[in-house]
Amino acid sequence: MSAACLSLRGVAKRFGSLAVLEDVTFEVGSGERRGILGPNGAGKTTLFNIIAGEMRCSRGSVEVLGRDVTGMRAHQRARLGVARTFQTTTLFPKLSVADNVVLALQAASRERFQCFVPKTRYAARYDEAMALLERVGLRARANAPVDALGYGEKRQVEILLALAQKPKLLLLDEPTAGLAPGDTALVTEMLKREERTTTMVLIEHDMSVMFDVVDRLTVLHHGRVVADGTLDEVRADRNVQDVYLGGTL
Amino acid sequence: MIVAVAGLVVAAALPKVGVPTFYVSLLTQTFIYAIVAMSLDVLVGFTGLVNFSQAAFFGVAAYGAAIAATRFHVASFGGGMALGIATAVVTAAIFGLIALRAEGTGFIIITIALNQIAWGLAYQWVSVSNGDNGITGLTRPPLFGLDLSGNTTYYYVCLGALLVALLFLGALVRSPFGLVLQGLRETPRRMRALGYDVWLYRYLALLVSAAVAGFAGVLYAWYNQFVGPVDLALDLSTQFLIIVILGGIGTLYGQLLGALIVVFLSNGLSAITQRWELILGAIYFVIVLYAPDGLVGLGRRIAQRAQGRRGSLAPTEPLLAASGVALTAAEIDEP
Repeated sequence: MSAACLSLRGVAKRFGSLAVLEDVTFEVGSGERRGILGPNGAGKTTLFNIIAGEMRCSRGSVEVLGRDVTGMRAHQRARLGVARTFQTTTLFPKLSVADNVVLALQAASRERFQCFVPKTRYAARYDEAMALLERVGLRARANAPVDALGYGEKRQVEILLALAQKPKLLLLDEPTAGLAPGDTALVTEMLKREERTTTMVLIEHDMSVMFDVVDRLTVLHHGRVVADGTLDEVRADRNVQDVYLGGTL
Repeated sequence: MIVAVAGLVVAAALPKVGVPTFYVSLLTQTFIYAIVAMSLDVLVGFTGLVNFSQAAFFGVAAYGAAIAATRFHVASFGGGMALGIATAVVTAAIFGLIALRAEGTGFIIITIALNQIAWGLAYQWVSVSNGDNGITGLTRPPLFGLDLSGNTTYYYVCLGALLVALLFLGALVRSPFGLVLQGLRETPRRMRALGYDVWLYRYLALLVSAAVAGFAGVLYAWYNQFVGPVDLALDLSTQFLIIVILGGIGTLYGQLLGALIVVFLSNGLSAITQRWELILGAIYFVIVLYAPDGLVGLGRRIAQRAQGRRGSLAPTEPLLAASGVALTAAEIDEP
């Protein structure tokens, strides 16, 4: 792996007296697919919120593509190439599927400040949205409000929006949560098809998806990193066996 | 479309077919109120900001133009209009810095307070605003050499202004920028994740909305030829919000309907009884309960029914939260 895409050093997060993350340090190389594993309450989503900039860490630093982003706000990090999906679907329910994707596509363009020309005049933008929707077979639903989509379709749009941002670092928070097996396979395919120019960090409880997509795993438990390595290394790790098989740490 | 053209023809013909001056004058006020309500709708219906200080933007613009005319002899239409709009935008720029630190209910409460402050200034800063006596002796400046002192002429000017505002705001909400605003209304969290500076877009929306409200405020100052603290009272902000809810949140053109009802009812009822606000409140209550998506929403549902499509008559998206706050504010506003 080449230079680190994401680098966390001594990241800690406390809510009052509750320490959710403590001294989390790890690096994710460019183009890598990294899985974050850990039981409920291990601090996985909090870690994503800190990487994406929705929350500030209490201690430590976050670097993305060699830049210290610890003090940056969420939208600034997004401009640098950080995209994320949410555990609970976070779309624009009243807007059409196409408009949802266009919002993601135009986020980095100048036209987002254009207030006199109808949005439909930007045909290239809508063509691009259609092409993306085509990829997941939702082209026919482009004009429907997102509200009208099924759960599985919404999850696909959830990921599509993040992909439309053409991210360098993509954070995926349980992309297949609650999906039927068929939809899970679709989402897995979507992720595997992404080129290696995108670095991915994945939180996932479905181990078959995890092992199918990621190269390396980082295991969190009670807010600490207890293991970090290739799939085989982690599988063989005593600490991990203790965490998942009920041993004491 | 056909309805719009028909409406325009009727509106253009009204003063010519012997409609009494009194009604022409009320209609003029309706057009002005509708412009403000549309500007407010951009915030409430498209950006998701329930702003209770729209009358402040409206009123300071009226004061701005009035003070410019009486103290500094700015006698031109363009000059008065530009100064009035600038006053409104500057006010919004200050209000925004304070109110946009919060969102949701916090934003609502802060805008209520800010509107009260604006009213307090108008009421008590006598050396500038002439206090409760207001500013009198305004004359309507000519527009491109056209004398506006006649009420019928001014009616047409305000009708034209309404069309300009509708076209401007209609273009705004259909633009890429308008799409951003709707994204903010729906899910600000995702907007941040996509790379949009949520604060900045809300701020810009507030400034644009204030400019349009200010445009209407100046028209109102010339319409009444008087400006007083009542023109930026919280009462008026509430009334604008009621117009938006009556007409239909997020419809823009529905605001004309809302303004028509509020202006005519408040005038008609106040001639009959001093307790007209009570009756207006009751009517408002019924609408909120049975057509929370406003008259436009109700109309659409009835039209769907008539076409035989099985749609329920129940409203699709109740905005009871906003309406509830509007009612509360109307109550606490009583001195």
